[in-house]
Amino acid sequence: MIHGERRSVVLGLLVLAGLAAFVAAKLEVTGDITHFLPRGAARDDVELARRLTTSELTRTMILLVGARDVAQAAAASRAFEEELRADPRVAAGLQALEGGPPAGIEEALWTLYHPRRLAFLADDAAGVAARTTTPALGEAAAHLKRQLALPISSLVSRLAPSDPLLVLRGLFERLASARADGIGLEDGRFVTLGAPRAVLFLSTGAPSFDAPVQRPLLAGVQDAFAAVDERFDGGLTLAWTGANRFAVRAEETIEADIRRVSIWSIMGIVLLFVLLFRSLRPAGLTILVVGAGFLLATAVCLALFGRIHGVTLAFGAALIGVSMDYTVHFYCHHALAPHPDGPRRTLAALWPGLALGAATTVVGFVALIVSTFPGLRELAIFAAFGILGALFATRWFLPALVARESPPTALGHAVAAATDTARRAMERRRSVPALLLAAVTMLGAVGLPRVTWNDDIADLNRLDPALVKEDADVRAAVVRYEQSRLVVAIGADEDAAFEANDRVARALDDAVAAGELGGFRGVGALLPSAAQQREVDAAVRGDPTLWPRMEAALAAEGFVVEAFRPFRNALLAPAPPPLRYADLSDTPLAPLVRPFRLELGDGGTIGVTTYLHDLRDAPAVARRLDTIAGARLVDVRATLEGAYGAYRSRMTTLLLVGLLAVLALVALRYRDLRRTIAAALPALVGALGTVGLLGLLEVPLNMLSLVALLMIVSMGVDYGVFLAEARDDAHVRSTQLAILVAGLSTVLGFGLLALSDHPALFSIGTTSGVGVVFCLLLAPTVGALVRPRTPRTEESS
Amino acid sequence: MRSFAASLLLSLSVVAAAANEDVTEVPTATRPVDAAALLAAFAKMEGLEASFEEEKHLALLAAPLKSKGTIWFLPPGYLAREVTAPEPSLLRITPDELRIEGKEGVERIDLRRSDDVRHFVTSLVRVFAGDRVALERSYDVAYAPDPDAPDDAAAWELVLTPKEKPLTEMLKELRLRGTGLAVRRIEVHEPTGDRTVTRVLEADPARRFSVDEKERLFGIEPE
Repeated sequence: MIHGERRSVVLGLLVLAGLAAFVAAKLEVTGDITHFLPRGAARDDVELARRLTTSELTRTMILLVGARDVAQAAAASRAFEEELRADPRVAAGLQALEGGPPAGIEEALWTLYHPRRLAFLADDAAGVAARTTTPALGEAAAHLKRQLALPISSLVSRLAPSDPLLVLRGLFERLASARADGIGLEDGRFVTLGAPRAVLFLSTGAPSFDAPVQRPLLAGVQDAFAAVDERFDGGLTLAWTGANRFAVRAEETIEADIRRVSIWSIMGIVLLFVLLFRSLRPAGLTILVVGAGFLLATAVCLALFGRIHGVTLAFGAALIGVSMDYTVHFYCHHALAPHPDGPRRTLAALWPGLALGAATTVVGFVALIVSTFPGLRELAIFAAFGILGALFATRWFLPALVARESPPTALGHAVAAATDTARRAMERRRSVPALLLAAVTMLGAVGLPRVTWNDDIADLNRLDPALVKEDADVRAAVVRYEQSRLVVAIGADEDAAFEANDRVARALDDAVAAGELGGFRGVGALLPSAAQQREVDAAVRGDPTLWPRMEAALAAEGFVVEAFRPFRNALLAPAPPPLRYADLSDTPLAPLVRPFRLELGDGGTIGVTTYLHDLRDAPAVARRLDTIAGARLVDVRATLEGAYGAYRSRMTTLLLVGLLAVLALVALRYRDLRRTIAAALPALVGALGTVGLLGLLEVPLNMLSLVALLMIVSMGVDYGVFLAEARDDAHVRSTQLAILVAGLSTVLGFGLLALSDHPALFSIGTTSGVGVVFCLLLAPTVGALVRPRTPRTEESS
Repeated sequence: MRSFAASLLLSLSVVAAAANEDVTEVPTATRPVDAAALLAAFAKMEGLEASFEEEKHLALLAAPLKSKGTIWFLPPGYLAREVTAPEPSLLRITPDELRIEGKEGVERIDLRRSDDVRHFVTSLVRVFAGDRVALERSYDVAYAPDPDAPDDAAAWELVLTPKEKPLTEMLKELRLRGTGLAVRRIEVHEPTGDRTVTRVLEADPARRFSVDEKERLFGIEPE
């Protein structure tokens, strides 16, 4: 290394150190899944589905503690809650933990609802009229008397003076089952109605998919339970579920598969370099170049977005991995056809091809920047800057860091010679490459119509059967409402949303009566809209005949009318302000209403959810809701699937546009049809063949397939460009070896993922594995077809 | 809910106590030496049928509510209470449910969802079971000769006074009076001044129930 190069390397390393310091100081990795969910307007189903995906319900775990009997379950529940709150890993991620009704709930009920009891007499003014006819009041007085004769008379006798129509009693009874369906109470703790099991609800502040937060929290839960179980002599069981468990387990599975594949791929790549070059230096240089790109990409994303998504890091690193082609390309030329003036001149000769390869890759990624997924925009920016960083690192570092001479091994020579022989054979008998090209093209043409797309994001995850069973068992014991289909009432503000929710409740009552729906759980009974409360209250207080008629009815049943003075006074008093969500949000009643409210967008738009049970006729229910402004039946899974489908379609279009831009760039560079074809056609036919083969094999494609295809096209264009740039036989031979090494490295790095039984990794592995093999075959094939015939005298040399 | 629970307790306690009045073939000439002896005698009961008359004196009503009927008890925790007049109704308590069937139909209260209610009902069952230890956790238990029958050497009075909330908010005291091992009268006093007085008319403390009766009265499905 000459003095100037040494200074250049030091300077470059300082720049990288600066980037590394910036990244280390600013690095904030997020696992927020909404980053990769489509965005829509506040009222769109997509936006709703997005919000629901991260709503409190999805962040809430259900923990069932089984015990010898219900009393022990309650005691264990109390001890478990103490342990959970004391564990710093749990406490750090905890938003709420409920093992029983919050303290003070009865006082809160009395304070908030008793003054407003008249507003809860009915659902509307017509309902008030029906409940306050003279015969109805007579029946109400008789009913009150019968209740007083029952053992539950104590409850009634205390409330009756101010509430002879027993409005509050009905309200309190509804509250008893408001938290969930299969829950009872034992010693102030939630227990299941079946086997002796305590129930705890644990809500996390972070989204379920934020593995860095969820992983230690889950470990904390397990340790807390183990401690409690020990205190109870090992007689307890824990059954628990939550989206976070699935997310963390999925990540562990993926990490394990990637680790396994990585070990094999690193061993394979190192072996490849050792066998061909008897040196690990190419591997080290590849790490330096790709690492430089990774650092620049990370720094740019942190500077632009303030944080970076874990998925961006993972897939972005994979996409930047394309840039290993640059190192391999340079190294093979340096080994087989070095410039007599040294490595810098070798690189200079290759630079136009490298720059064009990088430019075509960046152009391909640019198409993603207009995506509506913030995550994919970030991914595109990450990959584009990563490629540019790797390209400049190639220029900056490689010439200075390679040995003056790096001859290949005998095997390296033999492989280069073999590839050259194959090329010459194809050039002699062009029918062979033509047939190969035609075959792959035909494969694409036949398979393309058979391609199926799977846009269900859930299918990209392989759910652990044991967790699925545990989840089903826990939910069957506690929550019997559908997880994916629900009703949302949306309003421009809270009042409007709750007004729509009033109408939803009435429509669903009708649906239940019509047999279209088994049941539903909403917030309407506890929190009707302010408008409904005002209407009902006004109807009650506005009837001057109500008290005289009530008085007569009570007297007729033998009541001491004077005892009901509190009711008469309430009728004469001004109406209190209606009960609103804000009145409940800071009270012990908040857990009963909070899961039903969604804030949509920044403009104050509010959604109120209603959860459905046994939805038998979804179209019929949807038709009922169609008549209510702002209300709709939302199928979260189907909505996201549709959104992904639409996005995938748009992404496909953008990628095709990107391909045209790549073609234009290549054509502009060469201004020559043959070389343009040599550069671009392998990638295009390779991608077509990949899609066709997967179609014929009935392997459905998905979003990850598209990302993998993007990588394939980038690599394929690199291969084509490198070959098109090769001006003489020596460079062609070197380039062929480079392509082979790069292709094999990619197969080892990504293709081996096809061995994973995780759907996401399998998808990436099959697509990239098949695609790279096609590009590997097609680059020299197309080159042989378009290259002018080689004179026979050269063949024997 | 607390009021509900208290009321239920009171009524059930009344019934529980009533079940032991006029116990056939139970010596009535001797007063149990203490509450423990009295409750221990209750614990031996295998089944009970008793007729009763009840008066509820409520501030809301100009005249007391009077009723009469029959109760049945099956250990360890099943109780049925049928009112025959003035308006027929049937109340049934199982470990999981309080069920009331009357003119207005059937009303069910899931005791598993109502912690306080179930707690009080459990207390009642413990009275039947003679579970003194459990009762003393919730009540101060006072046992003494009946002050209204100073000349009756066998007459006694058992007063259960709740120790803490929420019981104290709804129940002032539960006063049982009897002779020997038989309960004659139960008075339930609420903090509001309302009170319920029950007199036991006839009782069979050795009542055995057939499979059909268990199903009809207590809702126990045949095995």
